[in-house]
Amino acid sequence: MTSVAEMVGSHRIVQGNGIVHPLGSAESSPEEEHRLRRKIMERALDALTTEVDQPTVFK
Amino acid sequence: MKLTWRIHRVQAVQWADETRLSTGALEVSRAQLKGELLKDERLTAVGLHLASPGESCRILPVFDVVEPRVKLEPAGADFPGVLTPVRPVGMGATRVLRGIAVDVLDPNPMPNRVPILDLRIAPVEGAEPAEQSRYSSLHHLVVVPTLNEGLDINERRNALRLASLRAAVFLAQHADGKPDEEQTFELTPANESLPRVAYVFQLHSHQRPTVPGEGLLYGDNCRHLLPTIVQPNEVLDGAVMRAYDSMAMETYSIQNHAVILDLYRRHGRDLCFAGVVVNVANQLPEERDRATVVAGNLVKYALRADGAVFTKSGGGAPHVDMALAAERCEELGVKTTMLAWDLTSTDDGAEGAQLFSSPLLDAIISLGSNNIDIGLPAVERVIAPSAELAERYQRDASVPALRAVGVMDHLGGSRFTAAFY
Amino acid sequence: MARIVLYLNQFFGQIGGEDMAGVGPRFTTEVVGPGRALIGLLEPGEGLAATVICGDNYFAEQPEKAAAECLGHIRLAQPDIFLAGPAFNAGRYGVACAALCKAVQSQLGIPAVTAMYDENPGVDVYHREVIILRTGQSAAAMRDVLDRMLRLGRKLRAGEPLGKPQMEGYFPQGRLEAELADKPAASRALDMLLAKLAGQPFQTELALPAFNPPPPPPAVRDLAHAKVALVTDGGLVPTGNPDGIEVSAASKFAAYRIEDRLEPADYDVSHGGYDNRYVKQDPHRLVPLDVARELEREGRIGQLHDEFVTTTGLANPVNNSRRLGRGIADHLKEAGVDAVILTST
Repeated sequence: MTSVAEMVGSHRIVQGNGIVHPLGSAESSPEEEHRLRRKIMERALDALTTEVDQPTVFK
Repeated sequence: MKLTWRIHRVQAVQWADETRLSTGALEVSRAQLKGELLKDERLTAVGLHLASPGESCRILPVFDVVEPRVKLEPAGADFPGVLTPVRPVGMGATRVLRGIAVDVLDPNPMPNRVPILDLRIAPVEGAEPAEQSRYSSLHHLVVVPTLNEGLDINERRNALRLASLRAAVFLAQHADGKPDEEQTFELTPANESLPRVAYVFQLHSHQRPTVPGEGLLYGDNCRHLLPTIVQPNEVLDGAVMRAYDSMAMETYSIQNHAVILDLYRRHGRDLCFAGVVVNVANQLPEERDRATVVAGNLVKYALRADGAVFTKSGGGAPHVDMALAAERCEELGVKTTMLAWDLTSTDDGAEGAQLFSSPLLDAIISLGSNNIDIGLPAVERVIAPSAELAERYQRDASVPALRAVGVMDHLGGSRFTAAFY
Repeated sequence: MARIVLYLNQFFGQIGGEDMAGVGPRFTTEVVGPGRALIGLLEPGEGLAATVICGDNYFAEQPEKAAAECLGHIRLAQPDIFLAGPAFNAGRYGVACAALCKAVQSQLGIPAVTAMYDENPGVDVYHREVIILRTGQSAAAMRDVLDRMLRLGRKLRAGEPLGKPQMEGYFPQGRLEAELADKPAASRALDMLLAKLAGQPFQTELALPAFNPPPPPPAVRDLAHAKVALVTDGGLVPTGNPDGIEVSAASKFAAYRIEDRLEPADYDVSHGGYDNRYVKQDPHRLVPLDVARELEREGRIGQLHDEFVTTTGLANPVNNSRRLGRGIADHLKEAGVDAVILTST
């Protein structure tokens, strides 16, 4: 729900993989899931170290 | 596509040896109806009860409410894809028994999810019961099934659904004779100068994903439905079903879809009913984005709408899907209005809480609030699957508005609303 | 005959500026400041009986004493209607106006109205108890606001029920009331849409919230030496939910120690708004502890905080969420956390 996060003014927003498993996947193998989680977390670290001046979605 | 409802008004219901309708009195054979329902081996027993409008009676936990109907032409096409094979519906003739509803109860409700149909429900003081819920002025034939122990939850819910549809068809089938009135539905060409209004119908929210067998559109569970166009008659004639635990949306409210009926009423008068887009609230972000794009295009370019009305389903999250689709339409120059309910809690309502905020979305109808608890004074009679439930709910109780069957209607059929003061 | 009493601060009461904010309560029967505009708005039979003035600091520093003293003056003037301000965005003034309205209502039993801008702290504190009209920030609207205050005051005095806050222009008082509209929602929707299409005026039934977010914090300068915490609003709790975090509209948050992994058997989900089974199967799908520990071992982050913080974000009123957010932020700041990764369903 990145639109909600943007609306309330969260500054650093990373898109997760769905409501019921934001950092996971029901349809992937454990290895793929791990890779997906890692990718999302890397984006989160990227967001933490990037200057922003308004709500920004990091893709 | 022209559909005719042949409407028979039911003014009284009673048990009898044969099932028939004669001068407004519906006689029902318990044995015949039970026999019909027990053909499904997933049911091991069936209890049947009657309740009259305005009775001091509470019915719970309600799985669904269905208006008795049967397809006359083409015969046998009842609830296609769900009860009968997939065939086109929305044309020909359908018999409707008006003034009565079939309620099916759930013997194993989820904890804290007990939908209650109270025939004297009064969320607002001083108004007649008929004004407070469309179900208060109906007769109710209540089906209380006992299900086979070995069934999993999806099988159980499917059995309950089919029982409700079978009972509804059975009653209508045996009530022949001359109808009291006829109503036809056809989108005849309208004056070109009238504003074209489309309706975007969110069938379900996959925050609770549908399971195989839980058909929504001609039996398809719409798990990854891309928005598509249906004829309004298809909605009115059994092609569209609610999900098993859809809140504030019963089969009865789809059969008598308030937005669609109103658009039909006004078609050719102050608007042109441009058509219906159906969609779902998605779980994954790209699905949501994709659905937003497609819905916008269908409304703007396929239906050539000047304006569109939106409804939602489910809980809070699907407000976002509805809002994104509406926002997209506004960007394309289509004016929109949405039917939503307030999400805030009663604790401190200085500001409402919505999950969307766009200056373009400035025309919202309030369906009430999920945080209003409706007081239910003690009743004389409770119809429930167990003595324990009956005893618990016979006393003073309360029910959240979303679970008070008939009070809130996602499809716009209720006058219930809420305001901050 | 309606006797009106007006409350003003030292500035609008023409005693002085900030330098006179310490003056104590006094009253005058002369017409001062906004009183002049008010006089022009009165109807026959109405009169400005007195103006009570008090310095903003005097009131702010000893609110009970100041209110009691002001009330003494107000009572002497025998008002039928009490008007305070308008305070616009002046915070001390707004709080004083609202506090006095509350006192006048409860102790003198007469209608009281004030007016201020939505960010004025007086709104937050008193909107539930006092009718506060919404204004902009600029005092240029003074005459207009006074007119609205007077009209509302007259309505209250006549015992007329007030319309909805949006219609009357006051801040909602937090009472959610069930009502029956004149027509079903579907009809109202079509009426509203046709009005919108025709360019005619219409009034939305649900107003959208306004959010005033704080300025963005600067980026983390040195992530390799930063302490990072995991927070979630997906309602992940230890089995049995020992702290009773509610499945919806959670009133609290909790922090739980973490080691290297989240074992499914040790956790439950207390959140009624999504299908919990995927997270129950593997809690890392919500709280990515496994990857966080990897990043820590690899030196990408300096240190992972040894707890994860959890609450349930479902159907939570905005001000409750704000309170929880501040609470979580304070808790983590005390623990020396530099950055947070918040995961949400």
